[in-house]
Amino acid sequence: MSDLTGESYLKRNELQLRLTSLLDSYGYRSLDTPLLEPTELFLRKSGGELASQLFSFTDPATRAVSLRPEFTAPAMRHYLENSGEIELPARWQYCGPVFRFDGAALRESANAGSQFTQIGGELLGASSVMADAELLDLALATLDVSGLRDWTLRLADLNILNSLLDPLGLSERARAFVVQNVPLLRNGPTPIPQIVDDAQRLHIVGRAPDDDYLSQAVQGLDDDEARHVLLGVLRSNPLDQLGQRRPEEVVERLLRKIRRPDAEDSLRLALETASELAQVQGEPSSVLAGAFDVLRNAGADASAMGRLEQTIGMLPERRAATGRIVLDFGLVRGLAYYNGIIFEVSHSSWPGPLGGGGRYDGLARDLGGSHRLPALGFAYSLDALVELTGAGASDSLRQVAGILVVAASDGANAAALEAARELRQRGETVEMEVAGLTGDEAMASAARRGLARMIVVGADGLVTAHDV
Amino acid sequence: MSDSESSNGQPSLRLLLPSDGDLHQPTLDFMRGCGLTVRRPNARRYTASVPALRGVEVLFQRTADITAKVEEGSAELGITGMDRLLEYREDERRAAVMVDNLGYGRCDLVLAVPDAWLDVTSLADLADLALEFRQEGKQLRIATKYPRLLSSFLYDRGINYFTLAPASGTLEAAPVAGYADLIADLTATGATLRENRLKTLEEGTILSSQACLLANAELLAALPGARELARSLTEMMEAHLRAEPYYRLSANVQGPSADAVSAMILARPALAGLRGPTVARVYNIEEQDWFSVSLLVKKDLLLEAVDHLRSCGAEDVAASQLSYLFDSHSHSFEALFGTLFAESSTTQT
Repeated sequence: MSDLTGESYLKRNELQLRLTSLLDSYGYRSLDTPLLEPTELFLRKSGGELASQLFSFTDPATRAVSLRPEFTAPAMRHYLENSGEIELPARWQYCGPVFRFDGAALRESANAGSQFTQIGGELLGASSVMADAELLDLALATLDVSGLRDWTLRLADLNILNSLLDPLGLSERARAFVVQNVPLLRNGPTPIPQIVDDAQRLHIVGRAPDDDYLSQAVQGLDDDEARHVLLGVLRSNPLDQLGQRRPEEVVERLLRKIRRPDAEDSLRLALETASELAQVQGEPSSVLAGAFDVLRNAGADASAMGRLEQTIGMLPERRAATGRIVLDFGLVRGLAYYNGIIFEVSHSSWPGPLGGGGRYDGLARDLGGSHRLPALGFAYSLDALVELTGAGASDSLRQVAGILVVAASDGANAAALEAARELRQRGETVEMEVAGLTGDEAMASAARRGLARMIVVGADGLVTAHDV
Repeated sequence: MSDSESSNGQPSLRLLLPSDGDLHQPTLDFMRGCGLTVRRPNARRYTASVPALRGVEVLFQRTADITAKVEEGSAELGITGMDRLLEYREDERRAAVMVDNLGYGRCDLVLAVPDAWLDVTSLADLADLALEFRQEGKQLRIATKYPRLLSSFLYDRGINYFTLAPASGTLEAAPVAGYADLIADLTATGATLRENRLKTLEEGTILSSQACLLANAELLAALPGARELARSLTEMMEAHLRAEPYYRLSANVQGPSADAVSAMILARPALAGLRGPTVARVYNIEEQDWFSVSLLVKKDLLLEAVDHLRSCGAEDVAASQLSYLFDSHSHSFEALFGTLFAESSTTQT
């Protein structure tokens, strides 16, 4: 952020108030969380993905702490710590500074890319399509209330991509890798060889199953027999150090590894399938049919697609018309974090997204909760909205015309202070003259600073008023 | 120069050496090998001197504390393990690596998983498992005394979901004790890991470490006298390390002329010294055609070189250990201080 003074400060506050009351009207209650949280909270949410953007340091008690880069993880932490007292569904809104280190932006401008103000909402404990629709509606209403036009909202549902990848039997890591690379496939399958190369470099695929004694031991056996043999091998060892794993889990994974169809072929197929979906972009009415086709051709489950169609059908026409809502299946918004509907809002005059959101049912468990908790949320950069709408502060918030109170002499100081106190009690904005100016000098100073009147108080309590 | 002078007017340089653990004795041996024998007036004192280099004051510190002590400016130089340096240092200017390969104290920081994890043999398996754990709402728990090196190694390889388990006591026992699933620990031979039924992973070596010389470059930049001493000390170490792989061979060879003798020897360039042999006439009474040949040869080629010299007609082949091999300048020192300081230090002496 840059410094906010006078007009720019008022503009931001005014927009914040309008958006806060919008969120109020949807029943989102205010939540604030500490600026500093344990670093682990944010790393557990994002994996290491955010690690390079965190402002992290060690506090004097040698704990690793970070300035919050967003509100979602703190909000979920708040829920997990107080779940006994919180009635679901819970709706929360927040607004405040967040911090993300952006090395690239920093090279361009010394104070860019570190702090901005985020405003948004979280809806916890609701898995229904109604909840998806509410969040999307609220995100759109935020744009309306801001007075922003010509935005673009790109929308997708990660479960659709998941339903395509499910039947391919990829390892978790290969699957996450495919999801992560979907944005590169927006324009077709051309980058696939490069992506497969990367996968080999990262050891995600590459080698044929180990040609060791274990794979030889189960050659020619069916899966059940193989399981039996492998479990026998495992049980012949002391099993006191399996950690959080059960012997059956080790055997299942080992068997998958031995029997996995050529991993590189599966990865290539997954990327090709994903690229067909990622190329589907455009107005919902014109591209929905195409997306259904991709799923049908792949023999994938179409229920997630059906849900997205339903959500879009619930959007009010007029909102869809003020900007542009497009389906974009090349959108993934970060790795393996969202799991359902996701969206991102952009504007032609703003680099990068203004905001976005989505569903993240797995976060509660990532942060140590015992169950998945259906949840979704959205957030905008308030700074971006203020800058793009360019709206001036409304009259009610404009600095009220003030009064300068001047003591005619040192002997009149007490009387001048008393007069200022009385005026303030009547609701006036009063500045005391404290720079030792009198008469014309004081008048000129009042004029320069936009004050409306000047009042001179004499030692005898005599008051003379002047219009500036 | 008052800033770098001790009370008696001599420039002084403080060097921290490990007082404990695996690096203590090998460091003293290394110093002696470099001709920088450390003289400790009595074993209970934590200060010592290096008679070969007046002004160098040796302070013994716990190996684990040396990085921080150099960084805070308690000394200009220190010797510690690369593992500890990279794990603990906060500021590269104040704990800069001067020589990264002192050639002893070698060990690897490795990931090790229980033998019973039959399905996990490589880092890729571990990455996969981390995501499977996440799907089940669990996190891989890794016990280590090197949280920083471990985390950045794993993040760089796309492994994001894990937690660090508190590292107390014997790490190798953590999986059996149940507070971690796997460990990241130092190993020199792998024996302790095997005894505890742990196995290393392909691609799972986080760091190959050895002893290194570190310097507080910020401090040295401000202390010309100490910097000059540091340069001398670094040069002795580097020259010793450069000399280590070589023997000096000398022999008497009979031949028609110096040119003919050198041509015979140069027929096998790999056995003919760094830049070819030195051939000099031997003045003796009986015969006219003896030449003295001198050359440096890699230790592993010693016998081959001796045979080669014999085949060239050599007798009296002597081999000796080289103490120092100085280059035209100190690479380490220049890399750290650039030509600017190198110039100012030469003008000053």
